[in-house]
Formats: sequence, structure tokens, C-alpha cells
Amino acid sequence: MVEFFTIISLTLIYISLYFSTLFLLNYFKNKKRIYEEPLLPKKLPRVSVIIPAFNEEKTIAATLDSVIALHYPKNLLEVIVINDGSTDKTRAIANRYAQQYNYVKVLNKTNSGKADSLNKGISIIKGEFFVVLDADSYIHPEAIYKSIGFFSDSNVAAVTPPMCPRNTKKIIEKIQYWEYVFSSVLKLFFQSIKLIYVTHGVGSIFRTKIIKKIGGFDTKNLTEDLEIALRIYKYNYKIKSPIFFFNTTEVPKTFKSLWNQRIRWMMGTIQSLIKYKLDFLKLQPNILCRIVFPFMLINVIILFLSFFIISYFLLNQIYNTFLLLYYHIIVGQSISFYFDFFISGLTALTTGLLILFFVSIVICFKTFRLDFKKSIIYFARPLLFYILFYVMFSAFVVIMSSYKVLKGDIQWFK
Amino acid sequence: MVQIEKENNNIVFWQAAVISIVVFLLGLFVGVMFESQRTEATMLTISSLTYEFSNIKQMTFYYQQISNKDYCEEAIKQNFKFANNNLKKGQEIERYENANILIKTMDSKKREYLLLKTEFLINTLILKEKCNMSQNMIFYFYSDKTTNKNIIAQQAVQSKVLTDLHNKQTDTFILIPLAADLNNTVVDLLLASHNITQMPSLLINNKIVLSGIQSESEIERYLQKKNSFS
Repeated sequence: MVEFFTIISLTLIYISLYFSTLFLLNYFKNKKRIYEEPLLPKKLPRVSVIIPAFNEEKTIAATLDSVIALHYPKNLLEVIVINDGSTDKTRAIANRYAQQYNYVKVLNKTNSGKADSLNKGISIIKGEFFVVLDADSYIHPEAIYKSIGFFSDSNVAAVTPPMCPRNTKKIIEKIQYWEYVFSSVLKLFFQSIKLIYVTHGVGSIFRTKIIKKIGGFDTKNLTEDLEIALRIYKYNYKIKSPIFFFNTTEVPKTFKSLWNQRIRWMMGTIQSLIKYKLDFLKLQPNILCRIVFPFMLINVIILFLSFFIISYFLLNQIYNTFLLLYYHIIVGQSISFYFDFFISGLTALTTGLLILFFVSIVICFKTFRLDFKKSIIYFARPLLFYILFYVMFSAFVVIMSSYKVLKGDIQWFK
Repeated sequence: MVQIEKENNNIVFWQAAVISIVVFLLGLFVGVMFESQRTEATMLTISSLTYEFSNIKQMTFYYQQISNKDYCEEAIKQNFKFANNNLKKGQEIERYENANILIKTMDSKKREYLLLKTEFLINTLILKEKCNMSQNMIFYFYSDKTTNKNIIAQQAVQSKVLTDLHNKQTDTFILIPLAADLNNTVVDLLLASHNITQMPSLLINNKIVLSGIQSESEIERYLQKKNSFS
């Protein structure tokens, strides 16, 4: 009789295998197409850049510098800094830029959160399209030029570009480098099957008319960038991802800030799943219910189950090792453990999955044309950390976030 | 404008499902194949041990009934050789069993193997009685089906203690590990007659019962006292 633990492990292995296969199929189908640059429209549209900022004195100047450096006609550019009740020098710094550049404006308001700031911004902008740029993020000079062509398809509501950490000095930043590169690759190859489920605040571009039509950003959700993506799909619009550049952002530099960020992200995900559960259960004929919602739900369930499986496995191993050590000492026997490696059904499948994972890493390098040798030397250790601990870390995040949502402890963590 | 996306790409979800099922089944097949090979190897080992032991029994019978030659020396020698081989192969069978995750069909084979060991145990007791065999005997009783981690750990350490001791003193004692919970009549009789209820337990020379985990020095102490109870 096969044990319960084995059945759960086999189920998780199959689901992982399914998503790996889905990724590889999309890679082989789209690997050439993703490099095809969309043509610029004959008449360039007006674009607004909205920068919501709350106490960002350390980074906002660099963020504004990146916007000033954009290769886009300045007469078609409008930059609005929404100062969300900052108590530091954010306002003064933004005002300095507004005095220097006539297309930069500052809107001061009392603190009400990022989503509300964005909605305020949308209500006053003149641009046909708008860029959401967090005040600790930096836009690539070519970002608008290389993205605007995607909007020639009138059903495209948003373009969300690849991004990576601005600094990669600390190991925690390097680990996040891998995470960002992987998620950017996933977005590139999953865009054709509508599986981009976040339009992040690191330079995502939106079609103003559609975002206004679908009700703007959700002020109650902790991850308005994820929720808006789901709503775009609810109304059967599309999201695209270009490959031609990377925007950059500041990423958490300590474990605590990373933990808080991920708790917020996961709580936002759970909030969104709860918000759209009825649409899903009623099998509404839209992309959200047919594709994105089940994918997100499975993702959360896998992480949830992984927590229990990994915890059970680890605790079991620790307890068994403790007992063995204890009895070795009791009988005064020299301590020695030997490890037998035999290929079983589980190890054969797990080995297969690991091979697929390394194939995915190679695809990342190939897709973004990264310097393989340099990256391996520089990032090998963080990659190992990422492989070994990421699932467990994410699993813990899911458990803690679920607990907080159930408790109603929903607040912005930073 | 380049049309980057082809509409109706959703067929890829089904393609992925089909391919992943095929790959998954292939992986399972490879794993099951390896596990089957180990089950097969176990069966071959048991068959070879059964053959080896039948040979010993026939030889003893021949010497006892047909030849007038004193059979004891040869019988003890062959019995000892079989005991060592049996111990080695038994450990191999156990490792194979622990490695198998998907195929857990070894129960009947284990019973068959235990039957062989009890037959060997009886033969050893007869030799001890009739031929005045000088070597000690240790019957090591353990639980095969227990899920109690404490007992599993004790048994793992006890096995190691006994194996190490046996490696040091190969020629001085015969070690026969016996699963206590596989419904074997001889084992049940031994357990009942010596009032053994706790696992792991050791029965030295069919007289001394040591219940619970024992150290190497403790076992050695009883082995050295053999003259007092053999």
C-alpha cells in the first residue's frame, strides 16, 4: 500500500511537472516571437507618469532622474508626483524637480495609500496612457518607446516590463535578482496564454480609458497591482510583456523587510482570490475565471501543502536523528550514519523535475542574453539559496498570510 | 504592428497536460522498474538462501542416516557459514525494502524469509544439543511493523551494535535476527516461552533474555559467561 505522504508528494510532483511543461511548450512556441519589436504608432500618444510617493526622500530624486532621462518627446510627457502625506523631504525634492521641468507636477494630499494616490492621479492626467512608477523604482530610458507599440491592439490594457533589483551587493538582493529574472521570463512566455497576473509598479504602462472604465485601482487591496491585473482579465482585456529592457527597483535589504513585503503580497493575493471567488465559482466566461484564478489558486494550494509536507519531512528527520543520536550515546556506540541512495519512483520524478529546473535556468540566460560565466561566478551561491529555501520561505509566507487574513489583520507592511 | 500573439493559444494547456502525464508515467515506470528489480533481487536472494540451507539439511541427513562418519564438525562448519551469509543477505534485503516506496509487496517474501530463518534456528538448536556446538547463539527479536519511532530508533542502534560485535567476533557467535510480528509459529513459541514482550530483545543461548536496547559491552559480558549457562 502506497503511503499517504507518497501520494501527496506524487501529486505535487505532477503539478510541478505540468507547469514546467507548460512553460517549456510556451518557450518553444514563442522563443523567436518575443524578440519581434512592435511598431511605433504613426502619431506618438501622450503619456503620463504617475509616481505615488510616501516618505521616499532617499530614492525619489533618482526615480525622477530616470523619468527625466526617458527617450520620449517631452511635449508628450506628463509627470505627476502624488505626495501621499510624506513627513520627510519627499515633497521638497519633488517640488525642486517641478520648478526645473515644466512637465513635472506635484500633487500633495493627505496619506491614503498607494491605490488611492493612483486613482487621484488618473483623475487628473491628460495622457492616453499612463505609467505607474513607484518612488523607489527606475524606468529604463527606452521603456515607453519599446512598449507603446503593443497598444496598437485596442484590447491591450497594460504592458508590464521585466524588472530586476537596482543593487545586488547583498546576498539577499542577489537571491531576489534570480527571483525577478525568473518571474520576468515566466511573464514573457506566459503572456500568450494570459498568465501574467501582476502589473507591478516598476514602470507598467496602462491604457487610461480602460482602467477608468473598469473602476481604477482597488483601494482596499494590499496589492493593487495584482488586483488590477485580475480585473483587466475579468473584462477580457490583455496584458503584454516586452523583452527589450529591464526597469530596476530597490528591493528589501534585510530578511525582515523581505518577509514583510512577501506577507503583504501574499495577503493581497488571498484578498484577490476571496474577492473573485464567486466569479470563479459561477464559471464566468472570462480569462480571469478560466485561466488566471485557477492558476493562482493552485499556486497558493501547492505552497500551502508544501509547508506541511516540508515541515513534516524536516521535523521527522530531526526527531529521528535525535533519537538515533540519543540511543547511540545511551549504549556508548560510536556515532555513524550511512546514507543509501536507491532510485525509486519519487527520486526518478524528482530528478526529472530538477533537470527541468536547470533547463529553465539556461532558458533565462538565453532569453535575456545574460553573461553565463559571469553570472554563475557572481550569483551561484544566491541561486543555491534560492533553490533550497525559496519554496519553504514562500510556504511559510502563505501560512502566515492566511492566518493574518483570517484574523482580519490587514495592513500595509513595509 | 507585429501580431505577437496568436489567438486561441489555450490548446497549449491541453498539450502540456498530455505531455506531462506521459512524462510522469514514464518517470513512475522507471522508478517502479528499479523497485521491481530490487524486489526481484530479494526473491533471488531468498531462493538462493533456501537452496543453500536445503543443501545443509540434506548433508546433515545424509551423514546421520547413510554415512557412519561423524557429521558434527562439518555440519557446524556449514551451519556457521550459512549463518554469516544469511546475516549479510538479510541486511541487504532490509535496505532494499526501505528503499522501495511505490512497491510494498515484500510482506509475503519477508514471511518466507523468516520461515527459512526459523528453520535455520531449529537446526542450530539441534546442533547445539547434539553436537555440543561451542559457539554462542543470539536470537535478536525486533518488530517489523512498528510505527513507534522510539522503538524504530532503538532497533536501528541495536542492529548496529550487534553487527559491529559480530564483525569483531565472527567466529564466536551466531546471530539470527527475527521479526517478532510476522505470525511465525516458532518465533511466537520462543517469545511466549521466554515471556518476551518488549522490542527489541535478545535471547542468548536460548536462556538469557535481555529486553530493551543493550550495549556492546553488556552483550559481550553475557557471551563470556557462556560456560555458566550453556
